[in-house]
Amino acid sequence: MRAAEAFRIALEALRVNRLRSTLTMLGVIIGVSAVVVLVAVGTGAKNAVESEIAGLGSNIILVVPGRLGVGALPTQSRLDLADVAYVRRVVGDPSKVTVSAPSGETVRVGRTEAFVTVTGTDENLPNIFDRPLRRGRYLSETDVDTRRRVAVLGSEVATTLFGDVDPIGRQATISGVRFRVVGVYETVGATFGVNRDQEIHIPVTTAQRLLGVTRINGIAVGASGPDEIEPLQRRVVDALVERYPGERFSAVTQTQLLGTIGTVLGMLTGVLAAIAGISLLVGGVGVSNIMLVSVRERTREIGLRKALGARQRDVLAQFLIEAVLLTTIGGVIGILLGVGGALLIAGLSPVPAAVTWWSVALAFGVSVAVGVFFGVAPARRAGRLDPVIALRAE
Amino acid sequence: MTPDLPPSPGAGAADGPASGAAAFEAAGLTRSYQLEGVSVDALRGVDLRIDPGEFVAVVGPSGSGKSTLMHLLGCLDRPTSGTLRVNGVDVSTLSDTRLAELRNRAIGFVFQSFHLLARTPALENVALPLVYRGVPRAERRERAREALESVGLGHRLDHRPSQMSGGEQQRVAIARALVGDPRVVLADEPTGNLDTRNGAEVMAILDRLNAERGVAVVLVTHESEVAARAHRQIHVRDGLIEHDSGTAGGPPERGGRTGPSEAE
Repeated sequence: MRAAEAFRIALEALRVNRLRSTLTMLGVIIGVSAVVVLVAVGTGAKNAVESEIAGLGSNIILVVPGRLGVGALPTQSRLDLADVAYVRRVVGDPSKVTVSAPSGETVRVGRTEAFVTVTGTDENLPNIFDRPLRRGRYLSETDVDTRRRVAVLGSEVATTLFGDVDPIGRQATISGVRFRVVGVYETVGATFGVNRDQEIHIPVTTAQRLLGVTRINGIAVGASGPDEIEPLQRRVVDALVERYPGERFSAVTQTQLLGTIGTVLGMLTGVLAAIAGISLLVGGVGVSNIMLVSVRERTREIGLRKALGARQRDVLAQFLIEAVLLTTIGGVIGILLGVGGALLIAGLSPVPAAVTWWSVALAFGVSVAVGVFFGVAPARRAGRLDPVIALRAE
Repeated sequence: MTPDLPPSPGAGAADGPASGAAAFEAAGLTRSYQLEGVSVDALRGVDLRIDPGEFVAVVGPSGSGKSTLMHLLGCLDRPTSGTLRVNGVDVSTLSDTRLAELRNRAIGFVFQSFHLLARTPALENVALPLVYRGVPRAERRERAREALESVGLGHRLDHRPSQMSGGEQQRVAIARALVGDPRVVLADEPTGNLDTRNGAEVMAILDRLNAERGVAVVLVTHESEVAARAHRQIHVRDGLIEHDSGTAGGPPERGGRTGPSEAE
């Protein structure tokens, strides 16, 4: 028997039992689309976080007191500006070190009020972070030295407070103190769920005096190249530990963050895919079950085909192809639904979803394999039926 | 119309199907089944020869072993002991695959309950044996159409079995048995599920088939009127041939032959 003929017979059998075929496929459809959607969501989340980190700038080392890690308690910072100066000396290039001292404050313009993160920093910030300006200027060295009450606004803060009006040169009241707006940043989006467009940057010296901030939260160091990151990171941490014996300091780099987050999200995606894979397996069991029913139901047909000259392998091929068609058609429908679902999620919700070709290829391959794996036993049973007994079956 | 070729007894040992060989040649054929641990002998030693072009009725009460004999002759089953040659080929030497090919080429089946694929049009039902012979689709359809026309169903090509009467369904089944040009048609109670008129029509077709094409017809039945239409009656009882009108007690090799002229 020709292969084309076997396909025709199998398709015919599926068509004749349309409802049953559809229900059986449903298991595979759900499994495959779940795999595609969940992998897309997992991959999308990973891509989004990675691009956020990459969007910060390049070759950044973040130095924070205490131990950094998942579940570690936040450590009360004991770093101050003197320590920043110390790190500057250790690094050697003062312009490659900046500082962060954030605090939640209310900011007001006329009757408009907003609660935002006000971060004390200095003129070196744009040397390390990728933070383009939309209008005006960055904080200057003079701003920091003379404790000027000037502010650079995140794009969303600017819109919230000033609407369409150009904020440069205008006044904003932060925690009851009037500041002059000297710059507005470009929109950069969120990092780790913190919306950086909702930030206001003021000189760190001004922040310490007016907002009652004395400590600083972290120091950021910019390395001159990727090869310099690790030695610099070690040098800074060692220097701080030497200055404060018995205390811990942590320094993380983008690469480490990327690696850690990539691993975590990759594992998450794997777990999601595995759960979806289990549903695909259940779908496969359904296929096996239905094929067994089908073989029993069509015992007389099998007997007849054998009497008319069908060989064992003809009958086996017929039922195996039927099972594989069942799962493959289900797989293709599942892939279409999964891709559609992922695009829908990406379009309608903030969850990023990126369909990956490997998940589609894997889902297709697995659905074909499920058909073969779960179809073989029923098909063999069909092929081995004794024609005399099969012809007599009810 | 096959001319009468006197078969040479015992010369069917050649490996391939020889044109001069008997259609069936059985010697000491037995078949026993294991039913719940008990061995039941359905056939207890049958010697039989059926030549090409014969029209034979196998008659016997139910449980006599005639169906078992039919299954053995049709190569659907294998004997427990004894030898069976089909067209000169010893079937015990054949693998299941070769046996399937032999069924496909040498034998046409007609069953009591028609055994048509219910949701498949008549044309496709008839073409089914050719599917397993690897005949291309267009040729299959052509030959199936011819076969259906030869049983008077040229106007029913696209009808499904459910849209046809029992008599028509059995004629479709006969067309299916014919389509592969077999040397033998085995008909198992072909009129058993039909009324008298349709039964007569089916018998007339089998008769014509035998007379005009020289196809050997082996008919299993328990109806004596049906059996009487055959030219030779083999009575089976308790797993043995009780009486063979063709051989009349003689050796099976000298089986009585009925030429097509006598069929008219």
